[in-house]
Amino acid sequence: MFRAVKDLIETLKMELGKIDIIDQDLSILTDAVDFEIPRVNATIAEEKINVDVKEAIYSPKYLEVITATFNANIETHNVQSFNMNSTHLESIYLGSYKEVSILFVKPIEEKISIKEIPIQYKTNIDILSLNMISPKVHSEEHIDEIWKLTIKKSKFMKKEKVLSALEKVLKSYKGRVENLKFIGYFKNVPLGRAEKIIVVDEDLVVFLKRKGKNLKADVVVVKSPEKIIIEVVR
Amino acid sequence: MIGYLSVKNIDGKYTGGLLVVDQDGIPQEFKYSEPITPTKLQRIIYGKALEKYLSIEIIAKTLLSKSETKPAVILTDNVDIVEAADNVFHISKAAAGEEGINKIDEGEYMIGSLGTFYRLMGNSDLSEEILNEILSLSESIDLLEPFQRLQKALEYVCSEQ
Repeated sequence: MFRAVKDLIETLKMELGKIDIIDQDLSILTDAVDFEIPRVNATIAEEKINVDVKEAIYSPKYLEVITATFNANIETHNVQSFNMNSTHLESIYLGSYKEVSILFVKPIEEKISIKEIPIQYKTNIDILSLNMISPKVHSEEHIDEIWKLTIKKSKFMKKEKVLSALEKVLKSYKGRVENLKFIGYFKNVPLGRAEKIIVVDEDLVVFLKRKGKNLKADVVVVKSPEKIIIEVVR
Repeated sequence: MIGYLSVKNIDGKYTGGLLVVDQDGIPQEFKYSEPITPTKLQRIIYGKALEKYLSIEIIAKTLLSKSETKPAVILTDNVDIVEAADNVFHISKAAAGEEGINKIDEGEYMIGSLGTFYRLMGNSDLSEEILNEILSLSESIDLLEPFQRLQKALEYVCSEQ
């Protein structure tokens, strides 16, 4: 720039010839130049805050810093960045491009509490149990069927004793002997417990009493039109 | 005393009875289980094993555990029920045999009395005392006769349900 001014003056001197050329110390011009230094309108805060940060909540709208003494609720769009780990908030860069604030805060001493909410799933699935239940057991003596003892006639017999018994039957029978029918010889008939004795298909069915004498005997059974004749074989 | 254990399927109802008799065949104890009717689902899931499972695990073992007289030997007419306990023996009539007690194999015996022969089969050996008790009973009554009483009693129980 200074060079250009000097060249311009020399050119005018040659063209006009009337102009006195005065050597001028151009160094003064240098001092006269006013440089306007651009000023950055910025403030830098390096203030250490000695407060406990209870909680720091970051949401799309706000960064909320909760301490024991104040509760700062800063709009999130003013927050350029911040550093936070699981235990403490290290720094927050706030404001526009012109203003930068740096906050140093103490580490969060309190651990972040985590609440557990039990979730119960209710289903509509029926659970079917296949376990068989043990049946109830009864002991009822009134079931008469167990008190009917069926005795089959014996295949073996002592002829003399049987004939002797039959002779007694024939002697005592007052009706016609032709009407009598020999059923068989039965061993160990519990006469002491017998309430009733009938013949079914040539088997002797003894209806037992619940209580009675322990008396049993071998018998011959003869059937008459009127009744069954039982003679003990001795 | 000798026990008689029987499980029956009567009209789809499963029931069982335990009849304990003395040496003359006189009842000393009688217990029966309430009839069980398996559901359709149980029939599907258990399949062919249903009858065996019900007979042994559910009915026979329950009856044996409830017995008060605890006879030394239990006779059954169902061969599967032998699995219910070591003292349970299956009994059946044999066409021929020898009089008295004859051991055929381990846990297997033939008993003959007055021309009637029985075959006993179980999972263990029987003592001589018990075998003589069975032989003695066979001289008094038909050893299979108590099963007829049980059958009629169980039919009655099912008809009452």
